[in-house]
Amino acid sequence: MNEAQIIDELRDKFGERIGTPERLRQHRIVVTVEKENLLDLAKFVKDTYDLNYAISVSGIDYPEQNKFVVVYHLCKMSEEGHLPLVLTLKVPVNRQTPRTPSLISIWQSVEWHERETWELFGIEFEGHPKLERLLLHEDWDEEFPNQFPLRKDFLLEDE
Amino acid sequence: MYFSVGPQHPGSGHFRMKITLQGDIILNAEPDPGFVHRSVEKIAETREYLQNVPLIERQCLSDVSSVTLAYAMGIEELLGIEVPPRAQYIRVIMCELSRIMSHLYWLAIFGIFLGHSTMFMWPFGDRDILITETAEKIAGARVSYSYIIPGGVRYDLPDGIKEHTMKTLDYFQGRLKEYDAIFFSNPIFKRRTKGVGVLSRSEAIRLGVTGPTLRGSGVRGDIRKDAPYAAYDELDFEIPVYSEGDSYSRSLVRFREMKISSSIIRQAFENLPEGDFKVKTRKKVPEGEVFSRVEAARGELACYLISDGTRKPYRLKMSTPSFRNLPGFSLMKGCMLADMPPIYMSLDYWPLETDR
Amino acid sequence: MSAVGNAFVGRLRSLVEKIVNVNPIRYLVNWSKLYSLWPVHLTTACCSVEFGAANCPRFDIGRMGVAAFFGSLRQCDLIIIEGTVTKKMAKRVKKIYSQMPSPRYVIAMGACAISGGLFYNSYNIIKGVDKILPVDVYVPGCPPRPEALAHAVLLLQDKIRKGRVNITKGE
Repeated sequence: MNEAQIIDELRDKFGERIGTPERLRQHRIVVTVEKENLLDLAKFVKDTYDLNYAISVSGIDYPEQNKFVVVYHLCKMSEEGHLPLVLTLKVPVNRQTPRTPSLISIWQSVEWHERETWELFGIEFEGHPKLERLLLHEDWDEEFPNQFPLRKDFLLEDE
Repeated sequence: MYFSVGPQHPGSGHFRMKITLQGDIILNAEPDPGFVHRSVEKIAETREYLQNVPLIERQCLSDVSSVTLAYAMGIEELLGIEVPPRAQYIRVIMCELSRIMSHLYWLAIFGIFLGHSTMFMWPFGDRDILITETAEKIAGARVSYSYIIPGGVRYDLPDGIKEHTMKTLDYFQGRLKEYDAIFFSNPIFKRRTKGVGVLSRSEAIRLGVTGPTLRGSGVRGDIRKDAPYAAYDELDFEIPVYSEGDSYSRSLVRFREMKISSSIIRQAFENLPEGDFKVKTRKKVPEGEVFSRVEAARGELACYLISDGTRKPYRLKMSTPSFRNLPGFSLMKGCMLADMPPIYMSLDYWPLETDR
Repeated sequence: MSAVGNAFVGRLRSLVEKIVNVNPIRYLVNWSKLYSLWPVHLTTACCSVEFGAANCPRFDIGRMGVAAFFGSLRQCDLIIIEGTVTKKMAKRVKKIYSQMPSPRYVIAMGACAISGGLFYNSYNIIKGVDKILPVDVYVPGCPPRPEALAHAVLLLQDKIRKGRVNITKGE
């Protein structure tokens, strides 16, 4: 599948519902999508391009723009190996009410990644079966109530 | 019955598994990571790009080269610099040495897990005398050499290292045969691992596992071939794949990889080009984002780096192979308790890499 | 609590304590502790790579009486803190230490176990294991070489021989 073709097809199919697909370099396509259209787009790319393998889920905090961005990196894995193409889905989330639909119904492998992002950023993934403590210690809530370490307003000692 | 394995347990290390048993059958095995969560990603935002190299390599001290390579490749892409070919070849040499080191470490712990204490002593001894010493001659430290930096490598290769490495690898080939005889062809080892913890091909892709765990299930997924980096596209090597998907085939993948890695090191030394080993870089990295992938010893390692144009990263996310192999612990469901060690070891889980 | 542990109670205990504190007997008691330092198998972070190497043929701290990979912690008397102690691990370290029989010794291995090291400004670590345990020997390095760990064992043995070890009062 050609990258220019993918970009054209996504633009034709979704039009205004997604941001303009951008080609960063060879094998890297970035699509920004609002959370209302996320499930549709995710289903579409999985069925059409067979992107069956989620590599990572990350969160990014932009306090000036009052948003988080949840980033999904997807690629295709066949019997003969990875396809070099990596499709990046970026989902902006409001900083006051950080909620976004979970993609666990489409990619099982995002389970642990979303759980980590929930814990470290405080982004709620709707429909995720198990949002529980993963990396932080048990007394975190008493030590730092309502704080999430990877947000920019959580400062380390020497900052 | 409910009990937990670790964090104080021979072999498990800094990690805990919550296991529910009925009789001798494991009903549920849930990993509980986080004992070594040292917040590398947060600290990295407070330090400069070069200062982060020793920081991020601590997340996988048995396989440091691949971690730093993913990070260095990301920065180089943002800076738009071309790394000289000699540095690319040296990087390949170091990555493959790291891979052998990591697999020998795994083999030793696997040995002690199954009660085979000779297999604990041999690989550890060989790892020290052969591989660590070679790496020390090249990079100046035993395990934590921040050798691969953005722009190339820190020093050029020392004199006489080619002869030393070739001699070492010759000896290592002979040792591999002995490992095969004493461990991989051992009927007890075979009976404890064959047919244990079977992961089918479709399930492996669905769970998103990576590295030898994936290749043991019949998927030829290896970044070195699929999206070549450094000098891998100029070298000739094969990817070992076994389709059974059990603990035995996952172990064999790693065993054969050691042999293939030594052949890659030989080729890299034969084809080593002359020239610079480093180019100058700037301290300020231009704005942008980059997603770089390498094949580490445990699988695909991806580094997602976002720069805002300052001297420090805005966000650094390491997507590590051990974290992605976490769903593999569900393989223990329905197995006997005695099958737990082979399954656990065949996943080659490294807790520090998961927790970061 | 001195060298005798909890084996004797009441007047017998005070009698035994008096006897073992007399010089030739005290020397013998200390000497007998020297060569059976069995470490708990507790890995807290990445220094475990070098701890493993120290146990193996090339460096072999087993010849100093350190028998690693010994099963139960009820029979161990040495705890080597291999690297960073996170807050989640700190609870377990304390619990494990309290389960060990007396006399017990602590070696803090690596910069992280001494002061936090590279991760000094992390939100999730204990800066130095001496905040929770009484440490006998510190081994600097990131990670320390296996020779350094072997040297630490020698230093600890020297300390035990001279009876200068930090034994906590009470259980």
